[in-house]
Amino acid sequence: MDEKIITLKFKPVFENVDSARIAVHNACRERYQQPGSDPLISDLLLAATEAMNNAVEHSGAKEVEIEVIAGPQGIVFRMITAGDRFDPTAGTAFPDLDAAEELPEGGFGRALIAEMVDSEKYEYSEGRNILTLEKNMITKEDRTDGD
Amino acid sequence: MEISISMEGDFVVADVAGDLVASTAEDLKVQMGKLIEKNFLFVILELSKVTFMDSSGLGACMAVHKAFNEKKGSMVCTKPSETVAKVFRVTRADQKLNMAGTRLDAIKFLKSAALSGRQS
Repeated sequence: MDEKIITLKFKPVFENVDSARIAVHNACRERYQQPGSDPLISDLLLAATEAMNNAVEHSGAKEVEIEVIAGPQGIVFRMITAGDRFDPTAGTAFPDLDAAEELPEGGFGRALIAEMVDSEKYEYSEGRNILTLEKNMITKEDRTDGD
Repeated sequence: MEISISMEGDFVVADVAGDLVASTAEDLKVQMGKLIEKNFLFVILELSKVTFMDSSGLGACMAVHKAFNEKKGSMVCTKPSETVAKVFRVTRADQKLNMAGTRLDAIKFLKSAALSGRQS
């Protein structure tokens, strides 16, 4: 059963991304307290941060809306921005550091999102970009199975 | 994010605390740029107190690494937390930046780099 654990709307500036990340972190830690959850939450936080950074830098939206849902498999992070179509799930390879003449200073964000979550889905509907990231968590059943 | 600067023998230790992210990454570049201006070119970037790093923070580390190299200096990143180390690892940046497990290892590396005058 899905349970919405936090919903936020904020103006797209990096300082607000920091506040949103902390709020998401606290909400996830409150909801998922099983041993081994913290690294999984950190992965989700990194992916969510990169997604929100992209929204600040590229979406042109006046507002970023996020919601975090405790789903049956784990955490669902959803980000909604109005504006032009922007698919952050496209082009998700890390820069080739061996091939580059100079070390790149950017281009890692999208690939990090793909690396850190178990699934990502992008939709564009009625002028809104909707990005959904899912991170599987350790469930009570997993712990029981392992006993 | 806060950066505390101290000396360890001949080398500068830049102890970074807090989140190294899009809103703070520029601060790291500015502070390291000031060290370069003052000709402090061999630096230990202590990361044990960095609680979170995103791709902007990683990019800042890359930029600073390049800046020291361009001046024939060297920077070594030490003791990242597991959360931060994971970002270096999955992007393979840990194979391009100078990384040391301890401050002592970082000092040994910088001594070698300073003596040989080589870029790293």
